[in-house]
Amino acid sequence: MRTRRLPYPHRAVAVRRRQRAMLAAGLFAAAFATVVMRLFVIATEAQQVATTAPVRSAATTLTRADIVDRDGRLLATEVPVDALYADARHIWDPKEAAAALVSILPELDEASLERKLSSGLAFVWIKRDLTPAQYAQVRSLGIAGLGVRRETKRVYPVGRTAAHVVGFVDIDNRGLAGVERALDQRLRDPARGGAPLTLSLDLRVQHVVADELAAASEEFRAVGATGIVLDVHSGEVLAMASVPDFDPNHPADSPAETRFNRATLGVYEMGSTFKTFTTAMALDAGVVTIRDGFDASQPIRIGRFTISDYHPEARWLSVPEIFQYSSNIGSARMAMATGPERQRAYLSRFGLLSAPAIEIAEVAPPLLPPQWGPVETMTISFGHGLAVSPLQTATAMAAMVNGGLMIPPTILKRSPEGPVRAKRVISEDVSASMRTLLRLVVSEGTGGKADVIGYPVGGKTGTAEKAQGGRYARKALLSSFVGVFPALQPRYLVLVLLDEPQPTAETHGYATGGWTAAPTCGRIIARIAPMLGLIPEDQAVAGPSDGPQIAVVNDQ
Amino acid sequence: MIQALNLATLALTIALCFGLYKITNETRQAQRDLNAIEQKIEAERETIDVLRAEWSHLVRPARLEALSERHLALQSVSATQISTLDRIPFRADLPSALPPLRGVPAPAFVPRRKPSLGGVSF
Repeated sequence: MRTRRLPYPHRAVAVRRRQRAMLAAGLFAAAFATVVMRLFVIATEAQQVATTAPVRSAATTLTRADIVDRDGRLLATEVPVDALYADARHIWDPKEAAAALVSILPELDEASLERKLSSGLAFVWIKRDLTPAQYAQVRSLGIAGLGVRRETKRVYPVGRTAAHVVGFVDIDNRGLAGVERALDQRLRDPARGGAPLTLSLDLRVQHVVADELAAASEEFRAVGATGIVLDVHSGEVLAMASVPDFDPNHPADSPAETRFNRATLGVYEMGSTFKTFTTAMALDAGVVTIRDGFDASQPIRIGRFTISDYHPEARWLSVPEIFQYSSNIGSARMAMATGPERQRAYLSRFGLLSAPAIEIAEVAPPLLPPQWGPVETMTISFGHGLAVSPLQTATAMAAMVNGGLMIPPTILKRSPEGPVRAKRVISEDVSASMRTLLRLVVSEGTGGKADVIGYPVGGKTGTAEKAQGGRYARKALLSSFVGVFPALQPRYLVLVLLDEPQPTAETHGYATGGWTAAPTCGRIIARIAPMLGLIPEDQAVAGPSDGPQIAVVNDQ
Repeated sequence: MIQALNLATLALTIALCFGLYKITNETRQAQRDLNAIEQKIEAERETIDVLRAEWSHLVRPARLEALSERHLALQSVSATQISTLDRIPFRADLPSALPPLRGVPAPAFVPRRKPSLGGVSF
């Protein structure tokens, strides 16, 4: 390119023009660079979006957490199912569609199905849980307007075994009973990321209890039975069963009374089991010592009542004898020595006068007497006139033998190092005396049939006549046994209660706690003690006290 | 010079367009693969849930007990079959007289040593 020399003013203009052109080129270059940069950013950002966006976590696919036993065995979980619905606006021939669907799903009612399909609604459920085979068949029908939605369904793999504790849910997976209801929020909490809920139950122990209760209620033709296994040092419920039971997978198939949890919702006059509490409070209050005694030679007449003994010894009885022979007269006299106010205060501290707090929806409060005078004091001393649930009884009994600490029961597994909320209700010495007395009942008294070779059992029988129409019925009994083992350093408590057991030839016409509930309790202990890792002891040798150490928080 | 710059810019633009198209296309494909894999994972997870439930149903104690009763000669463990190592006597420890122990099944032949009863712990 040839340059022309221009006169001075022209030259200045040319320089300015070139500068302008350079400026414009620079601006364009900057704009172009911006576009390039932006394109680059978009291209790389799109990749980032692709790697992070649609990862679905377990929490969003499962709407309810699993429930597992203390060793992680599955008690409740969710499985995906196909739920069939229809868009009735797009069904051409409701009659034909209904007939075809009923041929595959015979449990549906053809007339009501036809009404649904001709309703013109955009969404009607037809069946909520299809099996894979049914799903395939429905698809092969090729009916327009049918649709399938993926849903989750709650299933209980162990079925009846833990039905009353675990509970069940409705069709929309909302808890209706048991732990499912009591901890509904916790189970549906997305913040927990689907972490399973660990119960204190031991499925093996639970099975043994359910199995033995079913066998006992069949043997004694009882209308029902319940059993609880409790860790006396931690308050954890290892097993809780109620007979008759139901299948939580199909709760509506069983009559309503099978869903009644006798362990927590039933309240019963426990009978002689209460003599344990009467004796413990009398000893703890210092009203009697273990060497004192009471006159049990004559029945007590008070008002229109006569208190007499079931196995009358008709003589002066020492405190251990009153306990061992289960003397009503002796217990009534001991309770009167303690006094109504103190009796009430002690029973309240034992948790027997208010509903227990446990993570199950069905918990009944105790039935208290309308007034609490001398008559009530005497009858309550041997377990009549105050109705409590078996769970309350078990918890209070645990406090009698574990060194005197009242520990709230729980159905959730406790962490081994976490402190246990415990409240001292009787002294350690009284608790030691109670252990000896309870052992005496089994080794010498009414509870002999509960003893197990290798695992010495301590316990108390209870036989109460059921109140029917304002009177006590002689033939309708509530027979129970509360056993603790190993007797002198108890680790576990087993409660068995049979509702209206009938005598058999083997029981020589008796249906009392010692003849029905005690042997059942013994069989349960014989089966579960090896599972719980207890080393059998020779009867002569008492091992060193080596129970679990618990941190006591005084929250009196 | 301007022409050369224009040409270079044009070439760069075409190259960038092609590069962008290629990257976008690869991204889409990766996205599709990812979705397919995630669906597979989800399906596997559902299968695992179902299998876990089924397994728990099949190994429930009530069923195992019934099966064991029908097919095996096994019985429940009794207390007399459980002991600890320190309760098993050593030959050299004790003289030979052996009184019977309550609750222990009679041995097939008379042992020469008396069992030690000490050191029970649980």
